[in-house]
Amino acid sequence: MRIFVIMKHTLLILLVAVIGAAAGCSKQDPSTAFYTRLHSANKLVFASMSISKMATIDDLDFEDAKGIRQKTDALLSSLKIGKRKAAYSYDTYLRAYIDLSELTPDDVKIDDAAKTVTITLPAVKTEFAGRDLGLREDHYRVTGLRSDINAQERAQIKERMNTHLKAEVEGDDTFRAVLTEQARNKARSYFENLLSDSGYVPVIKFRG
Amino acid sequence: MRSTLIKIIFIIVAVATAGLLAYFFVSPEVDKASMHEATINNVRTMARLQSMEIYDEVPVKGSIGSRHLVGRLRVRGNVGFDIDKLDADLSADTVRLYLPAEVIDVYESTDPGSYIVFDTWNDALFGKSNFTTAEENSIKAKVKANWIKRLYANGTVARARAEATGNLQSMLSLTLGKPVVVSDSTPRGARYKEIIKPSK
Repeated sequence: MRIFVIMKHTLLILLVAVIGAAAGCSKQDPSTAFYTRLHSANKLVFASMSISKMATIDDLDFEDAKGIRQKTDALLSSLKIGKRKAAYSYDTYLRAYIDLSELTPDDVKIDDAAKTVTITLPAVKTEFAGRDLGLREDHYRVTGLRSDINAQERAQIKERMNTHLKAEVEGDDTFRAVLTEQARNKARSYFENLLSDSGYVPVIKFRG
Repeated sequence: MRSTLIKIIFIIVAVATAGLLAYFFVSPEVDKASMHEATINNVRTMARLQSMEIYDEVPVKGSIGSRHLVGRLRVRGNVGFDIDKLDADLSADTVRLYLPAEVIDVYESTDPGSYIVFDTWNDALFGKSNFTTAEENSIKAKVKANWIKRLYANGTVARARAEATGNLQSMLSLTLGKPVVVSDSTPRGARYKEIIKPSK
């Protein structure tokens, strides 16, 4: 009788440990409210940058594995029959624009004496336009008894690539600086061409 | 004596197992995907007037043979007009021009969770339910084409053209310092007839 009581208590301890561990590593649902939005814009886009991002899938090598979980997985993978390797990539687009709703009559100044027209354009802004709908499969080799890489796994990989890429762009000013510079040059040449027959010398400036 | 020994053994085993489990779950997760550095492909310059932005959530449903896929996609679209080379006499007292053809960009949103695959299955009992990357891309291409068709059918493109006419007129009048009249010869969209085929 006593043995059964001991076993019951032992099982309870194990159950609590498993539930506690599972709760600790359960994924939180990133439920975000989303709704269809349609809104007018008044943007003049002067430059667009495409940024390529690649990710590869492969089994973990035992030498590179850290911690018991990774080492267990690396060991189990080495026992599996076949290889599972893939490489995927896609493009994300960043664009630079000026918001025409910020352009006012005060921003256009004509100097009849000097024969110049000065236009002060709003500051160039940058934003993510979006990413490719599809995925490029740069390499795929699944052999032996290994399972194919399925649509759910590809969607999850793409999500991780997206997060990684956005962090890279936010952490490195080069992307936006290159794009902004190209946009400013294009904006300048666009408005200079527009005013080339006006009889006035165009002077293009930017706010901010 | 014996029962005490058994008790001690059970407790040791339970604590050791619990400890091992805890260590297992707090150790670094397995990550079979390696991220590579992002690289700039190209930078394209343009002068594109963007008059409409659309954010939408669309179902992704496709079938190839007896295999089916269901998911959800968050789309980010824009309706714009290339105004780099305007077909107009800018030196005239009143500048008159026509709004050019619309350019519709359709992207997957970069917001978190923009593409989710809920389920893939095969009607055949022992059939594979997997879709290749090319097959999935073809399903998404159809979703994109249908979404663009909907923009024409529900008047979104017409509305974007109307907004662009007004915006372009204002911008050019302000910049050129003279009256500008922008007309639209295809108010429903330059590609309306091509995309919305009349039903017989």
